[in-house]
Amino acid sequence: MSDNNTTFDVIVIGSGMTGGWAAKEFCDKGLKTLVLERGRDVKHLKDYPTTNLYPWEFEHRGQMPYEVQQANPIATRCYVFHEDAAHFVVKDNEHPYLQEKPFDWIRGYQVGGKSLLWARQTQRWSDYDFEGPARDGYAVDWPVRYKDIAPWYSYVEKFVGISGNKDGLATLPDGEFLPALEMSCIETYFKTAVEKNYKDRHVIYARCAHLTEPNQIHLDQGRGQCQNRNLCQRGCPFGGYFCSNSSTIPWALKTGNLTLRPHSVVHSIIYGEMKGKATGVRVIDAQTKQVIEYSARVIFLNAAALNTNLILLNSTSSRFPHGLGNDSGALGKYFAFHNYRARISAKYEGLKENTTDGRSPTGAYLPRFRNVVKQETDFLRGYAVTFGGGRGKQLKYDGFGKQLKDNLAIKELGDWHVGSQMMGETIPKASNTVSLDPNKKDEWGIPLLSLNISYDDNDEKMIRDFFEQMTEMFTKAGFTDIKTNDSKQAPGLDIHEMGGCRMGNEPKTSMLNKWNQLHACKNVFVTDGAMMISTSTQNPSLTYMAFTARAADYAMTAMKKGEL
Amino acid sequence: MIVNRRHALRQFLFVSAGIALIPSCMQDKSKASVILKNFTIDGDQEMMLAELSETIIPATNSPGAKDISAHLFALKMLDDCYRKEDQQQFVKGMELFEKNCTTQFGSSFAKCKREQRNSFLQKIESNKNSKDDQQFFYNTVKRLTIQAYTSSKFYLTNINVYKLVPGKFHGCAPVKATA
Repeated sequence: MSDNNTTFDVIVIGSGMTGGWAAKEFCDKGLKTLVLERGRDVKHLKDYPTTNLYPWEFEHRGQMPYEVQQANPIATRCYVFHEDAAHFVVKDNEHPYLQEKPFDWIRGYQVGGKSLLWARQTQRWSDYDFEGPARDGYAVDWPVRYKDIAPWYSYVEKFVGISGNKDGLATLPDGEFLPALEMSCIETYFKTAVEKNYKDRHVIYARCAHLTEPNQIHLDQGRGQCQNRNLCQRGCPFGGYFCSNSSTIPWALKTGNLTLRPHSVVHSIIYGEMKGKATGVRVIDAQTKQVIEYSARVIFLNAAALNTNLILLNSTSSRFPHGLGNDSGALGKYFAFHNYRARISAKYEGLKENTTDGRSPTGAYLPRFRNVVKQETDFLRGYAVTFGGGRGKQLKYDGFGKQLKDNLAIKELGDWHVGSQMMGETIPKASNTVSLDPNKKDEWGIPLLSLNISYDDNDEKMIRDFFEQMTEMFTKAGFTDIKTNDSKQAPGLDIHEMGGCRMGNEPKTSMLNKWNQLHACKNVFVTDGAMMISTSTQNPSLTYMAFTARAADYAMTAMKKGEL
Repeated sequence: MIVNRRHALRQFLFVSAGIALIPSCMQDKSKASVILKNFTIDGDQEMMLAELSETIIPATNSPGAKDISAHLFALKMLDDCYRKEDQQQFVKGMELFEKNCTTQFGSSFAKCKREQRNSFLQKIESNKNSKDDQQFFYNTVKRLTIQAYTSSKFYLTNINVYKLVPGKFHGCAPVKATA
């Protein structure tokens, strides 16, 4: 691999969840692949500076200093922005953007991207999810169905390593699972209570990307068994959870076919007017600001949903004056996300003889139960629900002196505290847009992204329904002291931003075909969150990975046939 | 070269010894052992904070607040993680705390007898929801002392054991086995 080489078979833009997968697939098949990453390199093990620190070893016990919080209101709202992982979160001034409406854009600019920080939840989509838009007419029909994507779910699950139970639910198809960990007593109790009272509602062990019992394929990646640390956001010294850094990127590097270029801000994809296809990528070195052009036969765009939109919008030519592949005008529109505003908590006074021991990297999960088979509420689509609980020591902070000290040492456990969060589907609307500001530019000379994304009435109705339904379920389970909370958080903090470059059967209303190729520029593929037509309720990374592996396979077949 | 270095070192030692010999009464106020960025305290106040946090969590047959330098942690947190208004109210409250203590007992908190300290704190504790500066100061020191203690190596390895690598999860363990 020569540093001066600028010609590759494939260029992958982004090294996160999907970029890592694209790199692995192409490198495995012998294609010379360049991965461009705008941030710094983060090497597995070596670049996890906080991974083995004890709580008392953090200067402020995890809390970020006041000045840092003041300078970074957006990053501060992200749940991993603490002393142990703040170095993996982009600071507010590092890449500014414009908020026509409030939107918390949480980013991880480094090799591995946000895959280092994700919540590691991996639930499959079913046809109830893929068929949502076709049923109610909001958004275009998905050009694929479950049967098209199912083998690719299996393919990525085997490599990633997913812990789960075969639950046999039509709403959440089973996958290739490593053993599940135990559910906690309170989760099992709630499962029984819910399933006794509702025939169409289920509580399952939430499937997660953790190696509960590694197979050979995981050991071959240099990863080992999950040790239940639940400190994943620091980077895992065991490789116990899946991230690009511990898995796909080193795997691709081992083939000798990968050139990984950090500090590479992509300016645009270059369109060759004569050739009628994309010819390469224009990069600005983040440090030297030098402009470099790389060329390749095929380009995979995996910059994460918003930056993928930005790059396409900024890739203009006389053929595509409004952004690459944007004949339909759909680019930057129909943006959506997950509604994570609503939570409910309660106490349970039973199960006094038992508690949990150790830490579980996952919890319980209620697959969507609203509007599944038919429209039955005054809002569209539905929500999935997390459920979890535990018992803490009942420390008392009254007084001072020996009495206080003794109180801080008591071993008695309090009641079970339980909680649930809504993961709601939002409806992609043409009015939810991302665009380029006509005047303002960042330090690399690239226009700033301007976000105009908001909740709507459907989201408010869904929150009310969640509170009603969960209060009823909690009450039936005998929970007390039930409290609901609407965080009113802005869109974006869910970190499940999706759309803007949606798939679809019709080039007139969508950007990508069923193989994730731009309808109008076939050698450019988009397989990250930007491709999404609808959001359903599941954490999306597993679905992105499956689509990426499928698209890479299609691209390689087409390259062999000389079509690309 | 070596000789020169030795010479320089010897001179340095003399000078340092000289500084150490300057009587402390020649300084206006004793200096605190820590340098803070956003507010200042003197050595007496630092000593008072150490005694106050020790009164809140005393050494018994196990380490107390002083052993884990809880007051230095509290100062670090105040300096780095609190708003300017809170830092100012803390300093005001600290001065009021000392003034009130001196009025009542004729000596600063650090020089008070244990019974005097206890009765002084009891009065403040009974007034927990007051919004005045002294209460803010006391509540802040208490909260940070408790945080220092419950997140200390001693506490997390002896009292409420924190395992960095649990290596397991039992969803339904009998309470006795885990206590």
